[in-house]
Amino acid sequence: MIDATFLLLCYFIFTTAAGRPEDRLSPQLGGSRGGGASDLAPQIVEVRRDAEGDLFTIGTRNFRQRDRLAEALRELPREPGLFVRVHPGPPVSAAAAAMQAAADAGFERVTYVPGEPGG
Amino acid sequence: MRFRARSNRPRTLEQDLTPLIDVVFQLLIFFLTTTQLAAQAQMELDLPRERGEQRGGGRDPGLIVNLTRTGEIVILDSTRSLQELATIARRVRLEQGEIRPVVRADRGAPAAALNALFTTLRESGIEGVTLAVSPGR
Repeated sequence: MIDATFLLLCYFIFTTAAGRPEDRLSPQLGGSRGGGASDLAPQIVEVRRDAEGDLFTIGTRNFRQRDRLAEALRELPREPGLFVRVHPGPPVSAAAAAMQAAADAGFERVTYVPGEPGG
Repeated sequence: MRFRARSNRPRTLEQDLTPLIDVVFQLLIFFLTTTQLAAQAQMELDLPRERGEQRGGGRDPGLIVNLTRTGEIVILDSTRSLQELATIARRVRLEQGEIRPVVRADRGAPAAALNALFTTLRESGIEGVTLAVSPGR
């Protein structure tokens, strides 16, 4: 009885410690030329890093904060979907932030496009 | 010679059930723990702190790829090159049909490494991935 109780205790302690929740973002994979000339009026978020930190760009509009990016994305039509082009400079967290902003803005079709070095 | 008089009480075989209960409990705990461990047997990474899509669990991903902070690709505790990743992805895709791999990338890993990983997966015929995030903010 003590054996069983002790093991149950260990089990619950362990699973509580180990069971950290994870969620997900589900982008499609595009080629490095995705969102280019072959696509009609592509909506593209560029993710770069400069001296001041992570930079998100839609057309000529620049954003530093993910919330502002999400606000801007809400103004765009959802049907064409969204391309997120991530250039080599920033960390993965910036790419995830852009995709999260797209999800928050209601885009169901998000395509991740690897940016070319120096692009 | 004196013989003890036979008792008139009915003979019953009393079995001690304690060991049986003990073993059943142990087995139960073993299976519960191993099931939980199998689900949690994943690499320790500082995932991007995002809410995610909050859509609940998906289907079996077929392949789980870890990307460390230094840009190393780890599959089932083994470090793999991009070429090896391509081979594994093609094989899993051949065996399981269309798959949507889970990519668990450290939030501090360079996007260049993630780009290379995604490009390799795409060239292996995979059209979409699931990027794991940790709802933390």
